[in-house]
Amino acid sequence: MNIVIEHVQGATPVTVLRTEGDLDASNYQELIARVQALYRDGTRDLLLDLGGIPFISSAGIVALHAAALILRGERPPDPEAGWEAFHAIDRDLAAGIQPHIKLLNPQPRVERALEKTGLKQFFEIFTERETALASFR
Amino acid sequence: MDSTTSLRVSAHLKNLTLIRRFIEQGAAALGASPEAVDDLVLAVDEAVTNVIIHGYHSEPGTIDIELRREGDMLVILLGDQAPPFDPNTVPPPDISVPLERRPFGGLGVHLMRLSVDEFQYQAGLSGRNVLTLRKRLTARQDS
Repeated sequence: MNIVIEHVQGATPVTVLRTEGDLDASNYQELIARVQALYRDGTRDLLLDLGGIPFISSAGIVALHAAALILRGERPPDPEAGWEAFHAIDRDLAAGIQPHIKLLNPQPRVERALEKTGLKQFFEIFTERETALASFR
Repeated sequence: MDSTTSLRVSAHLKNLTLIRRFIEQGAAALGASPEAVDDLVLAVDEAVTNVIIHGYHSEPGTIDIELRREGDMLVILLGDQAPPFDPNTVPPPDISVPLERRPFGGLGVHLMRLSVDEFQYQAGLSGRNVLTLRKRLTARQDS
């Protein structure tokens, strides 16, 4: 998996993180670690560009949820705990769509996995990058 | 007579990509629709990940994968020699209830269940566990 980071300076600074390659149990911790590092370095609004991910497994879903927790300033789940990552999903769903992390261009297989796990309603999803960036405020 | 394609790999997460490609190419060659191929790739990825993490506990081992067609069904057999990890023991999660009641690993099994038409687990046959996944060549719209 290759990760590309871009910092966009608009009315609200937004970090765009684009991943290339399948997101599975072999590499999902890498994505969590990168989001942790970004938050530690000051990122508060994150656009995850999923256009380069042809496949995502449940482990990748854990990474997306962990990223959302990190952007909320919460301690991310222990990747080794696996299922623990999902304990907070209901709380998050009750809290509505997250304003500080959004998704761009998930491919059909990834969008279906988001639907099957009930995580799709958790994220605002965009197909236009500029529209997505403008939505952060 | 339908032919069987097989793959033996070491039980390591780094082999997930190889396994997905094997299923993707094999299922398509046997006539599965693109939707059915996607579902099988996801189901096998989740099943193999469970074997590696919950069966072998990331210790060395092997996984045998067989793929064949039976009429309008694709049949995949996943064999391992790890301590048994029966996906049937993992209750299906209900996203509408508190997740604290769900066991570890349930989401992967949940995705596997949703992605195939049938699955059957046989533990410890001559020291070998076999998970059989069956999927119609043409995926249902709601699958």
